[in-house]
Amino acid sequence: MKFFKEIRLSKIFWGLGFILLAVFLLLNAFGVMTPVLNVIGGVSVLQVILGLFLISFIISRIIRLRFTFILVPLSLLFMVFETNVAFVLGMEDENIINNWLLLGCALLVSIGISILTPKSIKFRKKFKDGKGTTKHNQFGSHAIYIDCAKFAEQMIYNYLGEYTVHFENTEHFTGGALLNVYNKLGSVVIYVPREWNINEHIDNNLGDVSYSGQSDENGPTLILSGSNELGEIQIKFI
Amino acid sequence: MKGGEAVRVRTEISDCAEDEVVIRCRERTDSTDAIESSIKRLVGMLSKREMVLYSSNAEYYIPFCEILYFESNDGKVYAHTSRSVYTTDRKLFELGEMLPPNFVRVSKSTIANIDLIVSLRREVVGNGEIYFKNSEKKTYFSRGYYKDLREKIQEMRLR
Repeated sequence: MKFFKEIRLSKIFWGLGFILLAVFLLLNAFGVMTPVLNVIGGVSVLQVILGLFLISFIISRIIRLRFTFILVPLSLLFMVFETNVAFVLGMEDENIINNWLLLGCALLVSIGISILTPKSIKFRKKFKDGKGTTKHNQFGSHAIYIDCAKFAEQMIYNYLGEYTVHFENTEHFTGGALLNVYNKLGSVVIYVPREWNINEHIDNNLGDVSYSGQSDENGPTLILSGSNELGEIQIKFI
Repeated sequence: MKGGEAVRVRTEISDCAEDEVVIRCRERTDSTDAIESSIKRLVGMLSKREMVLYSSNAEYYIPFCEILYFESNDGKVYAHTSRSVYTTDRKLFELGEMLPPNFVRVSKSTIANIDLIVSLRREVVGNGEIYFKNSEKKTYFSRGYYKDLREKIQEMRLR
């Protein structure tokens, strides 16, 4: 159990996914899967791979309770397995619905939901207001030093990279500052003085948000917000 | 001592009252001047065991043995101890020339204290992470600096 606690959830998810795919490919090569696949009208290897990736994406959205663009992968999933659905339903015509029409409708509904969702409006407003500053990192390795003398709000965006956050002039920190972290498939390490308290509500989606060290619950509070998608955020108290 | 000529380096144990470094040469040249100034700077640095660093508009006198690494970022140079971050008004290349020999360049933007390194973790692409004794902090080394870094670490440690 200790092993599973030490590795992050996203790694377990994708690790098991790839192993299952390999097992399927091997079983399929020996013809073991053929009778099973024939029950649903014959499924090709390409369909299985596409299906697994789409289902993974859908599950990740559901876990994160974000349904905005979930209809697009769902319609793609339907398109991949349309002939099998028709076979299972006993329909003669394999083309149940026009694919472009289905995809177009899914996209329109998704756009409609995204416009109506308050979270989306709030996120855009933040950028327009220009509160705090935004730092971006893609693929590379980057460090940011936040000056506590001026720190009220800071946004960092990390995509597939490694981002390190340090605080300088920590004697000036009085608490209540907001650090928004948006991490996708990357790694973010935040070094927090152990005299501080953390109020964390990062929206974690198939990723891992971990802590090491002890904080002071009575110390000045740093508010951590944002999202973590299939990535890793480490908060280290130093 | 002509430019490009090999110079013998040796240490003599004697009964002299205090330690001294003597450069013995046939004539004074630019090379001897450079060696002399380098040795003077190094001796000066080794005799000073602390460095002036800044945080929150205050000066701090931090021993070299507590500094994990120096990192340049957005035009400033930061010094990291296991718990704090300080700034210095020196440029990174200046630090490279004046710091004690246990401070080694590990990437374009970082100089690390190899005395405090506890682990190097190399990735497939050649770059990697540096971990320090009694610290949660880590920094990164670049592929191009790995060979020198590893040699210097091995010089100072038993295998």
